[in-house]
Amino acid sequence: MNEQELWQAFQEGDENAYTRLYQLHVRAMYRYGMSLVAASEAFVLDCVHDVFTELWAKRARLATPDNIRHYLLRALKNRIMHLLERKEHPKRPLEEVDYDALWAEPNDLEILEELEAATTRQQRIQRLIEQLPPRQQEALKLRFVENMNYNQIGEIMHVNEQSAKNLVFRAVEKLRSWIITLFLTFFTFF
Amino acid sequence: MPVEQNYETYSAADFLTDDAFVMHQLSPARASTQFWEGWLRQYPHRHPVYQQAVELVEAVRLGLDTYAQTDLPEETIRRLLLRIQETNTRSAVRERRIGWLRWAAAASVVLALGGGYWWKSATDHSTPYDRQVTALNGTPSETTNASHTVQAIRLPDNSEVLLAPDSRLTYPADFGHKNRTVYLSGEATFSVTKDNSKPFFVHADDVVTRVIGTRFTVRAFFREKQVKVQVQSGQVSVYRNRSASSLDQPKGVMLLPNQQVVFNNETAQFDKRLVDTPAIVVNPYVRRKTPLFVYNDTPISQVLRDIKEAYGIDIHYNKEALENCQLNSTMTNETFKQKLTIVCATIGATYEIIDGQVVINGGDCR
Repeated sequence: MNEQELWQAFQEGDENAYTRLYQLHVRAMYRYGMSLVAASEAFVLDCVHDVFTELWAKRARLATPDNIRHYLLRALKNRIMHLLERKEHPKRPLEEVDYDALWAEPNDLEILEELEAATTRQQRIQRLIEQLPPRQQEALKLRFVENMNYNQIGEIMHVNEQSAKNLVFRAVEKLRSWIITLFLTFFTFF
Repeated sequence: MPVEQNYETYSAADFLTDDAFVMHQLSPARASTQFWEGWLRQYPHRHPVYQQAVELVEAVRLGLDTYAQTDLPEETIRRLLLRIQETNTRSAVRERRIGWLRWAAAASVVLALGGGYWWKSATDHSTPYDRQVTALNGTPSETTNASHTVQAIRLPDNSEVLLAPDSRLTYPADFGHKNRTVYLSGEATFSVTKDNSKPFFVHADDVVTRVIGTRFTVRAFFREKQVKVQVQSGQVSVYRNRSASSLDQPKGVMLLPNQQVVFNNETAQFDKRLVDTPAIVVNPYVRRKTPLFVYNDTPISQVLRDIKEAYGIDIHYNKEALENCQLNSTMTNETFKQKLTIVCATIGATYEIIDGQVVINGGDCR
């Protein structure tokens, strides 16, 4: 049974298929949710709960998604954003697109300080990635860990495909320039 | 399959915004391998840019490895599922009062099946190795080591394999044409010749180890019901073979020197930790000399940094508390663990190894 068949079985009320879908995707949903709102694990788990119970309630009316991981991550993000906007932001939130513009880009000195405590290549790159604007990090995670295509990333992040590519392009160019200028000057990279 | 793109004008970063390229890096398929190899043959002068893009992908993946490994305990997963099922049952009762008993009965069947449900036990007695080798086209080359000593094999690409007793290694007739794939039953240590355009894959049971050029060991005796991969130098990624269970994403583990991963065939879990006896990493890319580990009134922070860098293993400790600690000792011939024991005895601390890293507890010289 492939994942689409599993989905259709779940839609017909097969609880084993439903549980299997949960087991297949709960870890990815958790790590993606935590990267959006790291502050509260309980909140993220609540949202995962809401997504799955809503799926069950609406199962007869759902279409079969092409990419189920993508469908679930998008549903999770919608749920998280919906609750956050209702609870914590009585006023209209910043447009997501504006947010990156407010992100102060760290200068080389701040980057160096950030890297001082990092001892392995993995830690160094991890810290560099953490210096990127949050939306660029999110796009990197969706493309290189969750293996979504740019069209799907755009849907999750509410931008068009080209903007999703631009997020990754800017992140990669920044990482590359940091790696080249900093590591070649001060560190042995390997 | 990539549509005709003007890849010739692409910069390294451009490649990373191309789904076909990234998809090929993350999970290469026969068709995509054919496409990119053909493309590289057609545009040999773009090879350096392509190579930069490959290295950028590897770097981003390495930097996101902690994210990819975000852990969610089995217990939490189980409890959350119970909560979801409770909510579903309750709303089912609300919606249709009749029929809920049937649902509850079904739910209890799901619970009774429990964890065992996830692991489809193999009903036939052939091993994954037998099945994989039988499925190969052409006449593969198989080496069986029935002796009591390690047997050295040289592969067509000049990589060297040390095959342990009671072990078998097969490579297909077209090894090295499209990529470099070998199949292992038992244990072997690989010294892989670097060839960035042809990644090297070791299939052992349902676990695939992917490398570019490095030295590592794979142990996969079917009777042991687990697969172990240890890295001596370089960087490898290990993941489940997708054809073994088409539903699972190829969730992989990235391994650095002195780390190992054990894949348990029954629980289908990867467990990453340090090798039992870490060795000093010899890396051709680093000009830095291996430290002598001879210390006279040397700050502990310096000693720990030497150990960290020589073995490539992270060490966490309380910097303030150990600020004034010093060491007088020669540890040139001591093993990794002996060195840590000496350091800890000097400053009155203990150490433990958690998740492939060292954590030093206690100690104070103020």
